Amino acid sequence: MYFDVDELFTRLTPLKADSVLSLVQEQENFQAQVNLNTSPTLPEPLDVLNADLIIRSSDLVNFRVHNPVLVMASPFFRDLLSFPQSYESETADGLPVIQLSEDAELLNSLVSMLYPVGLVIPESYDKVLYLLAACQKYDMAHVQSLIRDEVSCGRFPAPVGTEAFRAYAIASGKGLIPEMENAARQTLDYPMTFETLGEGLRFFDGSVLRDLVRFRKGCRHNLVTELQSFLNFYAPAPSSIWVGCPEATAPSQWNLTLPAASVLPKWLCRVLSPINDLKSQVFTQPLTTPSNIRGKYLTALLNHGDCNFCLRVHVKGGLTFCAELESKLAQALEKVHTSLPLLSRYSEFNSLRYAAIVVNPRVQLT
Amino acid sequence: MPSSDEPLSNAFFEYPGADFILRSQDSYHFRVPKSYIINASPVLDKLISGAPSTPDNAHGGPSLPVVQLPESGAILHSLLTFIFPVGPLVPSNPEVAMELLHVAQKYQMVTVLDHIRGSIARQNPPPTQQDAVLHIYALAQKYGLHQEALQAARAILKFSMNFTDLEDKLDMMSGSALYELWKYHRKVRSILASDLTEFRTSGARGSLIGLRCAELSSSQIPHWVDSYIESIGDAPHLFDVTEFHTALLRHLPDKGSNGIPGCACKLIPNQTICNFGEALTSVVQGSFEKVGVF
Repeated sequence: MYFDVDELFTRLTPLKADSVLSLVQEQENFQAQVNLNTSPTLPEPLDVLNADLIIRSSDLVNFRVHNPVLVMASPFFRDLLSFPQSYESETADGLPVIQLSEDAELLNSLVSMLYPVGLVIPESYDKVLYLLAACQKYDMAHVQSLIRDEVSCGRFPAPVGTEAFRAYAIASGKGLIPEMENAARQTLDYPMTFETLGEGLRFFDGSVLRDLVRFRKGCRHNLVTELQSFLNFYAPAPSSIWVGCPEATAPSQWNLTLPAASVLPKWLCRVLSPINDLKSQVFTQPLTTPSNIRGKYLTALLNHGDCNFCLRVHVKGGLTFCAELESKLAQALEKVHTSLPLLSRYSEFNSLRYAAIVVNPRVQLT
Repeated sequence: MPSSDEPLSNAFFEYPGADFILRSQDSYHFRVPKSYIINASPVLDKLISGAPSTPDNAHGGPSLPVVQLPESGAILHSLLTFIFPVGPLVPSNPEVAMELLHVAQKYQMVTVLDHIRGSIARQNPPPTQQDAVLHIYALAQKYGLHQEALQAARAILKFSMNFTDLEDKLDMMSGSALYELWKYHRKVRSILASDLTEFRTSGARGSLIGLRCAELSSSQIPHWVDSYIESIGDAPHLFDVTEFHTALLRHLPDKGSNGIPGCACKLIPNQTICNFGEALTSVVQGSFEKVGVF
């Protein structure tokens, strides 16, 4: 019995134009590219007793597994293995073989999550994404959830710094919606320029890059609007606590048309009116986000000098004020999404693909 | 010349002396003499020699061997007009034109490729709008057309390259193609900056000698000209006569005043501007040409 799952996916994927003569090398197989930079040493497969099935990696490492374990973890394999199969079968050591398109390093991690053994931790966040993508492909929802938990707990790698741009591209390409959203939000803390993206641009599909550009602009709009709302100094608005700084030219009589800059401390007005409000700086500067607003606030306050009034207000209510700022900015960001069109696209594609497998499981036999 | 609107069925090649049939992917038949095809393309020469003889009896006449090709009938028809002594059928649509070039390149039809390029250049002048040039670049990348990709990349130098300006155009091409374009721009900027520095320090190669300005740079050219030249290195799209005049206007004082004492920039002779423009163009074009491979 010999299944070539890769062949199956190839047949079910819409045909692409011949690009043999292309000047650029399209990165259709991100995983292969990532592995170019790593050690070619193949992992030692997990020693599983009484296995009754072999899954074989793209680099020809056999992983012995139990059919019921695979069936329990994956409705995809449950359906695949529940149909009588072709008699032109390939076996190894008398066990049926399923050929998969993932490499041994990835399958080693994946298999370690099916058994009560130590988890094989992926070396990088890119590899975590490929692992998640494999789970998505094989409909292993529980394992996927486990991996996400491991990332949240910090046991599995997470994207660091500008790696977020590449993570966004990979996650988009693989239809990993939560990772895509997280990575997109993380990119806001960095400039989005050709210099920042560098070679990571190769991982992007053009429309995915456009979506990220639009996401950033949408976020900037919401963030700036939210920050500007903090220029309201009338009680009970959060910024009302700052009225009284001697460096602000506070008038004796307030009126509704009074500009905030003449009542609120100037350092605070600068924090709340970020320069990335300017169109040209949306991409060349990091945006003011929940993750960096507190730092900006503290830096500005320290540069304000020996203003007893502002220091007193800070001691009394500064942290609450910061928390309120962070919360409002986070809410502003939550209203912007990168992935709705992608989500519907992937849902449709996956359901069609899965339906095709169930209806005709022999389509992939070689 | 056959029109591109002419139905394909009316424009079949039924060439006198045909000794084999080229069949398109969509089952159009082109009866042609082998000698023309094998002279035009070493790839098709091998394909035809190695192909088993598959007679075509559909027309009731003498059966001819058939060679199946993966291209559409429309593309093959257009391609054949560049091989046979007939009026060439030049695609007016850039997608089809690029596909035609790609097919000619794939079959290593060197002479035909030149012929197609010449015909396209005559019939469809290179686009100047940013969208159109980016589209051509993306198509050239898709079809592996180095010459067209390079021409388009050079044309794109006339536009700024940042995400603010490219937003709506990003879905035209893959990230890899965009990365190559950015690398090309970076390389051009680097060479251009170096060449422009030499140009500035040489006093704009003498093209501005004798010009009186109150604010001269260390190389004895007006400071505003020096700054303008320097700015092109950072942003090649500023290499433009309008930008030059804008820089001049910024330098000149308000119309009502008597001007800066000792400054004659307002009265720069046309010939001097012309000489400077030619010298600068030569430097910029020279820099562009140094970056040929990406």
